[in-house]
Amino acid sequence: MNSLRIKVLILLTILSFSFYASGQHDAHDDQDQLVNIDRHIAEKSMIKTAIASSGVIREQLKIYGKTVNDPSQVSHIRARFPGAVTNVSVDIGDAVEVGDTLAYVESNESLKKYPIKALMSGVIVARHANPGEIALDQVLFTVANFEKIWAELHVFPGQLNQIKSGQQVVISGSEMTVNSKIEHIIPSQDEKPYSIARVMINNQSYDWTTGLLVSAQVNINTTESHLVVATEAIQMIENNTVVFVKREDSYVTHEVKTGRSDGQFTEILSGLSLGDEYVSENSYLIKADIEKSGASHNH
Amino acid sequence: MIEFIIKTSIERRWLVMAGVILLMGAGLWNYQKLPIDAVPDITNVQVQINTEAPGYSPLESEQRITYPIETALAGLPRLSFTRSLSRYGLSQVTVVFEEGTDLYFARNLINERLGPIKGLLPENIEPEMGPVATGLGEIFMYTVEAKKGFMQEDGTKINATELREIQDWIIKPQLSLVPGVTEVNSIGGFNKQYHVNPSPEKMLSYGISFADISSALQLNNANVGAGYVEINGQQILIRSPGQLQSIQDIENVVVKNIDHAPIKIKDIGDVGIGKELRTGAATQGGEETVLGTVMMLVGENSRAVAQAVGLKIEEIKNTLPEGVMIDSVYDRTTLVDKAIWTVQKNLTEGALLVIVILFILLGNIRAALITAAIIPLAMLATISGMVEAGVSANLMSLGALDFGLIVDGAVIIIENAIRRLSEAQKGSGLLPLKERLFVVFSATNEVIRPSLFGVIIITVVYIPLFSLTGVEGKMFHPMASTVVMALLSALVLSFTFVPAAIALFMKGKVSDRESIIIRGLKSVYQPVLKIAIKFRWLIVAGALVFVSFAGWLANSLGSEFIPELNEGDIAMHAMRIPGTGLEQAVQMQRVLEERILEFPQVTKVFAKIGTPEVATDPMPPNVADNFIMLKSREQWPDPTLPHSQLVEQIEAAVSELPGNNYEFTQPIQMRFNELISGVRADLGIKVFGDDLDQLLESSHEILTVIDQIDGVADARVEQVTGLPMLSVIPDRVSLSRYGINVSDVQQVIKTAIGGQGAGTIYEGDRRFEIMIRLDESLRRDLKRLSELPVPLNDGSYVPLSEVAELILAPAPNQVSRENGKRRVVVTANVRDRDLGSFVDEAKLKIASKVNLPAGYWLDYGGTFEQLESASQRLSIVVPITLFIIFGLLIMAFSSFKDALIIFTGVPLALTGGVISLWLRDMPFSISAGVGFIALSGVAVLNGLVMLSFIKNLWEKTGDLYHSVIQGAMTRLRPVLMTALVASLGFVPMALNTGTGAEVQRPLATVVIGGIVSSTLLTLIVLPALYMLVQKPRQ
Repeated sequence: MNSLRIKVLILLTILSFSFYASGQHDAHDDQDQLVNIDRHIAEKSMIKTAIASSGVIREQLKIYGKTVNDPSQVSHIRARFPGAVTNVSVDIGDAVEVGDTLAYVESNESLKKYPIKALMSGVIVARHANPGEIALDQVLFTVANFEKIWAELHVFPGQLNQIKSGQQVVISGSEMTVNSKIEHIIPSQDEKPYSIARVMINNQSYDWTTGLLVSAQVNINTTESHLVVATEAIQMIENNTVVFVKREDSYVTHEVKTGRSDGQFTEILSGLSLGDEYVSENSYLIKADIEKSGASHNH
Repeated sequence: MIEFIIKTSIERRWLVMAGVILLMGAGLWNYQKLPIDAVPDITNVQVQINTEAPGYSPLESEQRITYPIETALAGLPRLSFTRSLSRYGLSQVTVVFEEGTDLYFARNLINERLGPIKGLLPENIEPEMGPVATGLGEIFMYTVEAKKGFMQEDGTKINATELREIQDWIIKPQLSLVPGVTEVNSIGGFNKQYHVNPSPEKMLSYGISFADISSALQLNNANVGAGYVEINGQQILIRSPGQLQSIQDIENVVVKNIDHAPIKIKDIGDVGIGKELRTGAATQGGEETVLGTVMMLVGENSRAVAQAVGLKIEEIKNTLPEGVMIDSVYDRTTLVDKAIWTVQKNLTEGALLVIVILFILLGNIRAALITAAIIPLAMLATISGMVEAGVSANLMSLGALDFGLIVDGAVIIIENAIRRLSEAQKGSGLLPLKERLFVVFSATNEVIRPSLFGVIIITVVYIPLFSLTGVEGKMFHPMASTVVMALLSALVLSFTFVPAAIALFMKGKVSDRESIIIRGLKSVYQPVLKIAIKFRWLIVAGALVFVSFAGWLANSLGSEFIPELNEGDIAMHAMRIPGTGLEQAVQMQRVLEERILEFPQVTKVFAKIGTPEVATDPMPPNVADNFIMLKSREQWPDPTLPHSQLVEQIEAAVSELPGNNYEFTQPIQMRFNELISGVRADLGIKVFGDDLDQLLESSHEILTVIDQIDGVADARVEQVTGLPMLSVIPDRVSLSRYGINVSDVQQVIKTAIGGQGAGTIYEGDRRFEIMIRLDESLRRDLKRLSELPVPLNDGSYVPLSEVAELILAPAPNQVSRENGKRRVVVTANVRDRDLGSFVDEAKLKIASKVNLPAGYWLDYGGTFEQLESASQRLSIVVPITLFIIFGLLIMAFSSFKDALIIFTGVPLALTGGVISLWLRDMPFSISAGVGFIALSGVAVLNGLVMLSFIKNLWEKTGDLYHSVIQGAMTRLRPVLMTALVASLGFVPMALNTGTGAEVQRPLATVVIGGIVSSTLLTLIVLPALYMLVQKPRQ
């Protein structure tokens, strides 16, 4: 009984050993290519390494558009009753508050003067009224409020699946930038092939004007990834994506599967482990060394 | 005839002397005209047609430029073949003409053909012929550098663009004027350009396109002349200057007017001095630099031109702006001087040795001086001959000259004359003039025939060398013709000048005290000779064994075809993988060059990366030509370290650096390789056809077949792909939706990434291009390229990714063509197997196993071809030569037997050569072959002199035995003398380690070894053999 147990134990040990051995063998096959570079030379060649760790991938997309007025922030003021303008108290550029009297009109019917008042606070941007003139149904004043303007960004069909409302954007135009978010996405009106993402710009300081072409850097995706490497570290060898891992003075090729990337960092889905010391700068040198046997110069 | 000449020379001795002085004069005068270089020129007659095509990928430059040019050239008279190379931004067609075609004629023909096709080429594309230079053309290189730590007034360092400007507009124009210079080629730094970097956003917001900016710049940048007016008798010229002059001027150009508000360039972007998209860079000691290469016109004297360039550079140094310096990094003068010095050394040493040996053996200083005088005289005559024959003086042509050998004929005559004079004087004291002249005449006449035949035979044995063609021919023809000229002139001198001089200067008592050495030798020689004759069977059998042993030994020696001339400096190709960028390559160069500079033997290291301004060597950016300049040997830690070992050490050191592959060669050799550019492997199989993919597929099929053949080594397919390429493929459907054309998209990409020229800025003579291009930060970001806005007709835009697909994939890095068809080469070397049978098997197997589609065919080439044709030709020429020699010998003796006896001397002489090669562990080479050739001549000469003497005696006395003994004893002195003179003359050469040693060492080694065995033969075996063959007459 006891001897049988021992036998089984031995058998199991052997089995597990062989399994372990074969497992090791597999691991070895993955790392087929290896380059040895002396420490000093690596230093001189500016081969730098970093530790593979978790990180955040911020994917961005750049789209363009124009700034427009908020339709709710423009008021065109007309005379309610036709009549003669008797008195105008504001000029273009004057800031007005809600209820401020802008002018008086003498009604043709009642011959009574009644005030034309600002319906919203803002700036007088147009004035078509002077004392003595007849106010019919034309616009006398335009008051616009630029504290809030909108950027209408063009989202082309190929980009539409990446852009969603609520995404953070950095809007830049001329020399200014402002942070905001996409409020909503609407189809373009006049049969244009793109959709419009609307972003509100807070313009308290009046830095922004309408009709300005702006570019927007949209954060389309921010992923917490458990393993990222510097994008510079990734090289292609014979159609395989690889990262080089440093072990003492040798550099081992690891075939990796990459995920998202934001240009600076790239997510690694498989082929690399947390804590691996990988070549983050001048990885091209190691690729070059692996492929150099094919480098020739035929005259 | 000869008798008459000798007689006349003696009678009209003053006339002969005057003739000799004339000859010297002619020689000295011709020396001034003699082209001197270090190595022979092996370039074929070729013209390169380079066409710069900025931005063109390999496929486009092939289709649009290379093909029309190649087609236009078809059917040129004397055309040998064309080959072409299409790379990024460059098309190069090399047209090779038959040997002997006049280069200027060839260039004219090409020019004629290029004229009409200019209309077929894309706009602004101009094919240009390469400089009128050969492989020896790169005679001088210099770098333009900023002094360390120098700051300009504005506190900045002098940058690479400014250095390049100085090179292009201050240095180059002055150097181009030096007589003999055909081209000054620049590489490195950046061509100065004015860059307009518009911001895509701003362009969009103002509705401005790249075309608007370009046309605005072009319409606002011209000077106009408007004739003249005559006012009050005065003529006044009218002109309107409107050229842009500065960055500010460019910034203020108005591009568009929006509601009366002018939009200037500065409103939509930045203007500044920018960097061109260069195709090449240069480094020195790890730092980027600007490198100038001075090319010499074909046929000029490289030493003279290089010196003139050096002097001019000293002058130019004074005209440079403060803080800039020129560093001469390569100067051919050094090498040529070394080569000349080697030859001079040989000349003086040869002369001294001859004088000393003759004085010791003859005991007569006058006789020694007369013989020694042959050396400079023959040299001067040879120089005249070389100038006439168009042979340049170099290590090859002068390397095989040994004046010990050349004076042999004269030595024999002088020795005989002295002997006869002293014999005559013994009887009657000082001779009267007439009698003395007669003695001189008969003494000369006695030996002139054998020595004449001897020299003619030596000359004849050089004939096989003339049968070599191609590169081997170009290397060895000058050598053979120089030696032949020297031999012939020495020969002529020996029966004109020598008797005349003896008659003139040997007036007094001729002391012919047999020196102690000769007497001692004679007392040893006589018994040895008698024993040899007694055991003649044994001696002859022993000689046979000896010869067969040497024959076996000869087979075990390695062989090399063409010797490598050591230029003293090292050239090294550093190769990286295709697609390596210039900046990356410069980075890699820095580490590489710093490592090389750690060697104490190295004084300078510099490199050319990629293609220079004039594409004399169209390299991709992943290849760098490194030049490693060595200090003179005295400054090495170990001055005796062989050159090859230093190269090995450097190779070991640099191969530790990651990412580089190396190939070691030498500056001139490298240039030759670049120009001749054949397949350098043993076997090259060229696959011709249309489709690159199919070509590659077939090539790989061939590779698999070849790889299975016995004896194959390093077989591979030429690398033609692997250049990473981003293809922006327009989506036609999508384009139509937005109402724009393919060309609209392409124009945007081209301008944004590659840039678009928009006129020229003139600064005095200097002219700089204005380029419109996106800012570096935008250009370099491939991801953002897909977001590049493409303007639409209605002023709105669409991102590039919407109308085009971006694919990053490897693409052909070059397209090579030959004789008007695309080709891919499969190369292989052969180890441990006969080349011929390998090639036959390869041909057979490929024919049966590889199925080529219609329109594809193969061509077999490689060094096997040259070897085959050379060995074929030699297998005919060598027997003919031997036959001629034999015929000459029969003529000399009118006896078949005698001729045969002398002829047996050749193999015995060769045994010594083989053994000495084996002892020094040297391979069999053509150089050694030349030694063997000289040796057979010497052997025959000695045998001739000895036998003719014995024969004469025998005829006189009728006693064979005593004739042999006495004849041999009498000829001991001249045989020893010629042997000593010839072999000692070669001793310095055999020990030489300096410039030219590669050619001279094997040659000298063979001759020294051979002369030892040949002398033994002449002295011992020959008399024995003669006794054996000629039965004593009754």
